[in-house]
Amino acid sequence: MAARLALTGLLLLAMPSGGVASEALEQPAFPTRTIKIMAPANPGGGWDQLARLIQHTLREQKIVGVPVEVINRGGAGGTIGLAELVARHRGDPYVIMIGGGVLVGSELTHGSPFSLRETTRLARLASEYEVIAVPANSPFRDLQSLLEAFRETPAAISWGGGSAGGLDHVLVGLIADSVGIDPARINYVAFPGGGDAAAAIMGGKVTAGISGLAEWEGLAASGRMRLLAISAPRRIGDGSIPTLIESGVDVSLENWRGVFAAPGIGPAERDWYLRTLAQLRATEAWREILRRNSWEDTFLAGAEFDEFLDLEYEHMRAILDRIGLGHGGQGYAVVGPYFFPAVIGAGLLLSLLMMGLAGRRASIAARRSPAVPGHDAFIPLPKASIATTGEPNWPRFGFGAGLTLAYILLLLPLGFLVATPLFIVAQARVIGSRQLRRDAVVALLLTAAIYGAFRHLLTVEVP
Amino acid sequence: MDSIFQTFSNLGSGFGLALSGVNFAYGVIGVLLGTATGVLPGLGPAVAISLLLPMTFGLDPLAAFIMFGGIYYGAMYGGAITAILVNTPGCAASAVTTFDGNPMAKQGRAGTALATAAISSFVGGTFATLMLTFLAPMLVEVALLFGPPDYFSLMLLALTMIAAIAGRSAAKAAFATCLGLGIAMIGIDQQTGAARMTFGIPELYGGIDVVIGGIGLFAVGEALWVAGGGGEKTQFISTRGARLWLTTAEWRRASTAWMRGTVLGFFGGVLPGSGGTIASFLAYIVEKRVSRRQSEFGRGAIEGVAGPEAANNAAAGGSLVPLLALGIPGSATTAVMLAAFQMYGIQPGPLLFTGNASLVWGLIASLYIANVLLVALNLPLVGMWTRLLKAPQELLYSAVLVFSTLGAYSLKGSIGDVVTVWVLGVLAFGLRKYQIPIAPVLLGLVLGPLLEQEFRRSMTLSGGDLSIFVRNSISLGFLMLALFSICGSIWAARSARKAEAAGGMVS
Repeated sequence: MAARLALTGLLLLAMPSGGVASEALEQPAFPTRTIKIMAPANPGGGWDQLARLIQHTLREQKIVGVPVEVINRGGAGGTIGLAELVARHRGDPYVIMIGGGVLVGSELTHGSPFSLRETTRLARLASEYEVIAVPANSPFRDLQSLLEAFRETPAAISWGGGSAGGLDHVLVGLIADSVGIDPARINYVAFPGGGDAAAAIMGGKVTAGISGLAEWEGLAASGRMRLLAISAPRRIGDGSIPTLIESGVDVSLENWRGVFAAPGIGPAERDWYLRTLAQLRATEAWREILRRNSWEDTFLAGAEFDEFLDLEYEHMRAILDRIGLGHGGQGYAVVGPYFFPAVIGAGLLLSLLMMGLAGRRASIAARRSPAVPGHDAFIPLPKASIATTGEPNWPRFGFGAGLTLAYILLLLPLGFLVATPLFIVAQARVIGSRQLRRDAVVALLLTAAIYGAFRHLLTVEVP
Repeated sequence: MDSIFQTFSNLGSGFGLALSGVNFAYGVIGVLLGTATGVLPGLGPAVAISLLLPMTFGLDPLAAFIMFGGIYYGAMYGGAITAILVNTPGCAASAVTTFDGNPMAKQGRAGTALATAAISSFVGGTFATLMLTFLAPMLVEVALLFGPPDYFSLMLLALTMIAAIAGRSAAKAAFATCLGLGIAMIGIDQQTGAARMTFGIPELYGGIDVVIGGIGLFAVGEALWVAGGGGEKTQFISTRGARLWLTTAEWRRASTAWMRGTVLGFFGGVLPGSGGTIASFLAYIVEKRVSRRQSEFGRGAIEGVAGPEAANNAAAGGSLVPLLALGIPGSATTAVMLAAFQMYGIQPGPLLFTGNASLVWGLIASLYIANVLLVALNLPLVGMWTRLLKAPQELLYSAVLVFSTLGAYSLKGSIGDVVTVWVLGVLAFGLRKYQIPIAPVLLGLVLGPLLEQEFRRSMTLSGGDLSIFVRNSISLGFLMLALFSICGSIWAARSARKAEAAGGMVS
C-alpha cells in the first residue's frame, strides 16, 4: 500500500518534468496562507470530529507551516457543503473537505446536482464499522435469534438508527436483503443521531438499533445495551464482537471517511496534500487517535481510491433503490411525509376562516356600540406610553426592509467594511435621524469594532 | 448515605481544582464571552464553543471545560439583556423574556428586569447543577422511560397551552401556530428522506433552524417594526425613574416563579431534544396560568421574566445530565461539547465517572462557580446596560440589524440564511400589523419537528395503531393534561366574554 502510494507520488512528481523546477522558482511554495478544512456537518458529528482531529494533529506535529481552520457547512447530509466545495471553491487549493460513504448515500438520496466524483480526490483516511445492538434485557442473545424472529414477522422487529437513507438504514436494508426480506418493508425508525437512538434502545423502545461502534462502545461496556454483531470484515479491537459474516449474514459495511479537494486545482497542490496526509498518517499521534476512536487505518489514495469510489456509488445506488430511497423515493413509513403538512394546511385555512368570521362579528358589534380600545395587539404597552409610540406604515417599512435586503445582498460583493457603515447611516436616516455627521462617525467606529471583535476575537468569518 | 458523603468529598476536591488560578481565570473569560455571545443575535453558545475550540487545544481539559460551562450559562443570561432593553432577544431561549421584560424597561424598570434575569439565571443554574450532582443517575433512568409516544404527548400538551400566550383571539393564535408548524415542515424529512417545500433550493434542505427563526421573527422583526415607524416618538426610549433593584413584593413574587421555572426547565433539559426554548415558553405559560394577576402578564409582570430565565438556565444544566451520564447530546450546544470531550480523548458516558472522575467533578464544581460568577459580574453591570437605552434609537436598531445579519451569516457562512432571516422579519411585521401574535409562530417552529417526528416514529413502532398513545402511561398522563388544558382555556374564554358582556372592559 505504502509502496504504491510512493510510486504514485513519484509518477506525479515526474510528470511535469522540466517544468517543476522553474515553477518552484517562479511561484511561492504552496501553501502560503490558511488552509480550511470543511466539515459538511454541524459541530459534533463524525466528519466534524475528523476535521478537528486532522487540524489538531497537523498543528501539534508541525507538519504544515500555515494555520489550519475548520469550517462547518452542515445540512442535507453533507450535500450543502459538497455543493459549496464544487461550485464556490473551484480552483481554490486552500479549501479541502471531509467526506465519506455517508455523503455518497446523501448524494443519491437527495438527488444532489453536485457529486463527490467531481472533486479532486485526495485520500481515504479511516473507517469505522457499524454495530447492531439490543436492549440489555432483550430476549435476543445473538444475531441469529434476532434474525430468525425478523424472518418470521418482519413487522414485529423495529430498528432504530440515524436519518433515513443514512448508513444505519442502508445496513438494515442489506441485512434484510441477505435474509430474504424485502428491504422496503423494514420497520425503520429514524432518529436525529446515534445518541437518541441509544436512548431508545436503552429504554427498550425499539427492538434493535444500529450505529457506529465508537458511539455505543461505552454504553455496552457498562451493561446498558448488548452488541450482537459488527459490520467489519473480521473481528476488530479486543475481538469480543462477532462479525455479521461470522453470524451467517454475508454483509460487511464500512463507514469510511476521506479528504477531498476542490475541482480544478493544480497537480502540485494535489501532490502536496497527498504527501501531507501520508505524513499525518505516519505519526504516532495519529495512530493513537485511531485507537482511541476505534477507527481502522484504511488509508487509500490515487487510482485505487478512484476505483473504490466508483464501486461505492454502484453499491449504494443498488441498495438505496431496493430500500426505496434512491432518486428521492419515499421509502417505508406508516405515516408519510405529507400527512402533517396536510393537517397544518387545513389548520391554516380553518383559522383564516375563523379570523374572518371573528372580524365580521367584531365590526357588527362595533357598529352597535362605541369601540373599546382592544388589546389584541401582541405586546400591549402600559397605558401611559401608548401615546408615545408611533404607528408603522407600509411605505416607511418598505424603505427600511428594502434597504436591509440591499445590505444583505451587497454584503458579499462590497464586503462588510464598506457595506456596513453605508447601511447604518442610511437606515438611521430611514428611522428618522437627521444628524448625518454623528451617524457617520458612529457607523465607522461601530463597523471597525464589530469587525475586530468578530474576525479576530471570535474568529468568525466576516465577508 | 455512603454515596452522599462520597459525592460531597468528590465535589470538594472538584472545587479545589476549579478554583485554582488558571481555571478560575478561564471561568471568568467564559462567563464574559458567553454573556457577550448571548447578547448578540445569532451567535449562540453552540457557535461560540465551536469557534473557541481550536484556541483551547494547548490547554488543560479542565480549564477548557470550565470556560465552556461559563459560556453556556453566560449565553443563557446574555440573551435576556437585549430582550429586555430593545425587544430583540439574543437567542431563541430568551424570546419569551421580551413579553414582560421589555414592557418593564418601557416603564422605567429596566434595571429591575435585568437584575431579576441575572438572579433567576443564577438560581436556575445553581439548582440545576445541584440536581445534576446528586440525582444524575436517577434522572437518567427517568429520561430513558420516555419513548416516542411520550414525547409526542408532551409536545401536544405544550401546544395546547399556547393559548395562554396568545392574546385574546383564539383564531389568530391558531393561525400563528399553524404558520410556525408549517415553516417547521420545510426541509428534508428525517423519516423518509423526501424533500418538502424546498422548491429545489439546496439551502432549504436542512429546514429553518430555530436560531434563524428567533433572530428573524423577533430581532429583525422588531428592528424593521421600528424602521417602519413603530418606535418611540421621542428620540430616546423612555427611562422614567429608572430603578435598579427589586422591591420586597417583587422578590416574593419572583421567588416562587424561580422554583417553578427551575424545576420545569431542568426536567425539560434532561429530556434529549427539548431544550431551553421550549422550557422557557412552558415556564411562562405556567406562570401566567397559576398567577392571580394574569392581567399583568404582557405588561411587566415580574414572574414573566423570573420564571423563563430560571427555566432556560436550568435547562442548560439539565441537558448536561444525558451528556455526562450517557454521552448523549440533547441539544446543539451539548453536541459541540461532546465533540470537545472527544477532542481531548474523553468519552462521556457511564464510564466517565469511573475513568475520569476528577475531571467530571472539576467540571461540575466549575458549573457552580460559573453561576456565581455570572451573577457577581453581571449585577454591577446592570446600571451600565440600562444606559444603552439612552442611545439614539436610529443607531441602536440599525446596529441590531447589522448584528442579526452577521450572526445569521456566521452560522453556516451562507447568505441564504440571512435572506431567510430577513423574510421572517418581514413576515413578523406583517403579522404584527394585523395584530396576529408572533410568539406562537416561534413555538410552532420549535415544537413542529418534534411533534411530527415523534408521532410518525410512534406510528411506525405500533404499526399504525393509534392506541400506543394511551397504552403508555406517561403519554396517557400528558394527553389528559392536554385535555384539561383545552377545557380550561375554553371555560376561561367563555367566562371572560360573559364578564365583558356584563359591562366594562376586561383587561
